[in-house]
Amino acid sequence: MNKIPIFFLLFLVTSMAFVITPNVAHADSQLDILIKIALNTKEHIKADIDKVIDVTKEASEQFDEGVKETDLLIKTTEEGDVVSARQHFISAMIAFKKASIATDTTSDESQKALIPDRSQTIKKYETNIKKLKVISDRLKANIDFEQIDQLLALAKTNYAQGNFEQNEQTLSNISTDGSEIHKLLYEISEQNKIYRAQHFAKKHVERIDDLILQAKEIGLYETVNVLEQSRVQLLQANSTQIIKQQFKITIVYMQKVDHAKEAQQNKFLKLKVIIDSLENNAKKLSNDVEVNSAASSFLDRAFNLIEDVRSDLKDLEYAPTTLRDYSKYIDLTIGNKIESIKEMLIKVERLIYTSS
Amino acid sequence: MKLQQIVAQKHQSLEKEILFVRSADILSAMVRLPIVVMGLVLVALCAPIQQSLASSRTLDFTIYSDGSTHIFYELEANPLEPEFTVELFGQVIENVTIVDEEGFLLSYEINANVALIETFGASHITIDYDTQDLVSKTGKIWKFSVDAPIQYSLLIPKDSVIVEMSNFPISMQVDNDQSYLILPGGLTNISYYFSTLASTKPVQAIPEEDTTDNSLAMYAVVIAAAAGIAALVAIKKSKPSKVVEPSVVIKKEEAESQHLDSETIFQAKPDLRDDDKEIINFLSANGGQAYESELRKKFLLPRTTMWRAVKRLERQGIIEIVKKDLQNIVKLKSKLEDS
Repeated sequence: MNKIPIFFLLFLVTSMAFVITPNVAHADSQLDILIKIALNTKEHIKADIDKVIDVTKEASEQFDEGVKETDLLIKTTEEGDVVSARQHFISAMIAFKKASIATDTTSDESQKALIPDRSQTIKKYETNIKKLKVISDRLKANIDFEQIDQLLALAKTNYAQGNFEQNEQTLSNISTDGSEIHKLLYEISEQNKIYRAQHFAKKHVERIDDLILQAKEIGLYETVNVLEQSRVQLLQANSTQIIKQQFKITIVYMQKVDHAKEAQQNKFLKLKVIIDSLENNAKKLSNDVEVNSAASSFLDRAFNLIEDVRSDLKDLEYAPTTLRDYSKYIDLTIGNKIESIKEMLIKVERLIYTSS
Repeated sequence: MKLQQIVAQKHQSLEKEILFVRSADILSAMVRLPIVVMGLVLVALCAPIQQSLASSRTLDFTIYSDGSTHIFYELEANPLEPEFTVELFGQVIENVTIVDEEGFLLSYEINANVALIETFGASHITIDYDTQDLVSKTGKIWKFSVDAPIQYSLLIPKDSVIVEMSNFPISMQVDNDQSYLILPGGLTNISYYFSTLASTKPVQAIPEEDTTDNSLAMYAVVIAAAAGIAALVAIKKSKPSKVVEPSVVIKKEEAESQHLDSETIFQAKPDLRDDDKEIINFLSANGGQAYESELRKKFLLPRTTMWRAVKRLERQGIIEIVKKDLQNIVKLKSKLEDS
C-alpha cells in the first residue's frame, strides 16, 4: 500500500535534484564551442589562402600560428585545462584575424566581387511587415498591406532569379512603404493613447485616496489639500501631459507622507520606551513608600498618569483619525503628562530619601 | 528510578512526535507521507517553472549582411508608473516599434540613446529597432561591439567567419551557415568577414545534452515522470518489477552495412589512443554504430569523458554523430576524412 508514496517520494527527490543541480558539463561544452569556431575559421582562411596565387609571408606565418594555437586549444581541452584552452583560443583567433587581413590585401578583388546576401534583408522586411500587420489588427486600423505584400513577393522572385541590381530598388520601395505604414500606425495609436492614460489616471486616483487618508491621519492638512486638487485634475485630464505632471506632483507628496509617517512612528515608539522606563522606576519606588504617606500619594498619582498616557497611546494607535492634530497631541498632551510623571517620581524619591 | 521514568516518558513522547524512530513505526507514520509527497510534487513542479521565469528580460541581436543590426529587447516595466526609461544600443535608432504585453503600440521619445516610453500601466514591454552603429567595417573585417547588461543572443550573418571574439559564448548553434550564439552580459567584440567559400559542410550544432539549457532538464523530468507512471501501473497490477532498460541497443539490421573496418582505421591512423581504438573495435563489432549511452555503459566511462572521446574521433574524421530521439548515435564513417 505504501509502495506508491515511497516510489513517488524517491522519484521526486531524484527529479528535483536533477533539475536544481547545475550542469557540470558546462565548461566542456564551452570549450567545444571554441574548438568549433577556431576550426571553422581555420578552414575558411585556408580556403582563402589557397585561392591566392602569391601568398604573403605574413599571411602564411599567421595562419601557421593560428593552426598551432588551435591544436593547443584542442589538446588543452582534452586535458580539461579550461584557462589555457581559452588563452589558446584567443591567440588562435588573433593569428587568424591577422592572416585574414594579410590575405585581404592580396585577394581584394574576390571580396569586391562578393555580392551581399539580400536573402537576410528580405527576411528582415518580412518579419517587420508581419509585426506591423499584428499591430494593425490590434488597433483595428484597416491598413492595406496589398502593395507591400506584392513588393515583398517581387523581391523574393528577383532574388530567386538572380536579379540582384533590380532587387535593390524593390527593397528600397519596401523600406519606404514599411516606414509609411509604421508612421501611420503610430498616428492611430496616438489617438488611443489618451484613453489608456485616463485609465491609468483612474487607477492612480485610488492610490491618491489612500494617501489622502494617511495624510489626514498624520495631520498633514496642506498635503491633503494638494492631493485632493491633483485627484480632481487627474479625473478631468484630457491630455497625457497633465496626467504625467499630476502624477509627478503626487509622487513628491507621497514621499512627504511616507517621511512624516516614519518620523511619527519613531516618536510613538520613543514615547512607549519612555513610559515603560518610568513605570519600572515607579515600581521600584513602590517598595519604599509604605512609610511615607505623601510619597505614596504622589506615586499613586504617577501610576494613574502612566495608565493615562498608555491609554492615550492606544487611542493614537487604533483611532488616529479622530484626533484633529496628531503631532500637537503627542507633543503637548502626552508630552506634558510625561513631564508631570517625571516630576512626581522625583518628588517621591526625595520624600523617601528625607524620611529614611 | 525517577530519572528512569523521566527518560522513559521522554522516549514515549518522542515516539509520538518524531517520524523516523523505529522501523516498526515507519509504516504507521507513512500515513503522513501522501501530504509530504503532495508538497514535494508542488516544489518539484515549481523548480523548473521558477527557473524559466527567473529571467524576465530578453535581448536578441541579429546582424544583417549590410552591417545593420536588429535588436529585440523584452523587459519588465513598473505598472504603477506612467513612463519607463531604457537605454538603447547605438546612437542612430531606426524603425522603432515598442509594444506592451497586449501588443498595443507605446509612444516614446528618444534622446541620444535613451528612450522615454509612455507605458501608462504596461508591465511588459517589447522594443524592436534597427541600428547601424553596432557594426563597423575595416577592410573586409566587420566588427560587432556591444556592452550588454544581460545575457543575450546573437545571430551573425550567413557565410560569415568569426575571426575575433572577446567574450566566450555560453552556447552556439550553426544552422544553414549562420551562427547563433548565446553570450554573457558585458563588453563584447566579435569580428567576422564574409567567406568566399560557400561551405558545403555545415558545422554541426553542439548537442544539447552538454549545455546548461534547462529545457533538457524539463524533458528529462517529463520522460522520468512518464517512466514513473509506467512503473506505478506495473506496481498496481502487482506484477514483478522489472528494470526497464532506457537505452535500446541498435538492431544490427538497422545498422549500416557499409562502414570502415577497424584495421583500416588503425593503419590510416597509427597514433590513435588505446581507449579510442577500443571504442572503434566495439563500433565495428556492433555493425558500425552504437548509441553514445551504450558506449558509456560498455566502457564504464562518465558522460563527459565519453563525450570528449567521441568528439575526438569525430574531429579525426573517423566517426559521425547523428541525433535520434534526444540521443546520439555514434557511427563509423564509410571513408576516412583528413582531420
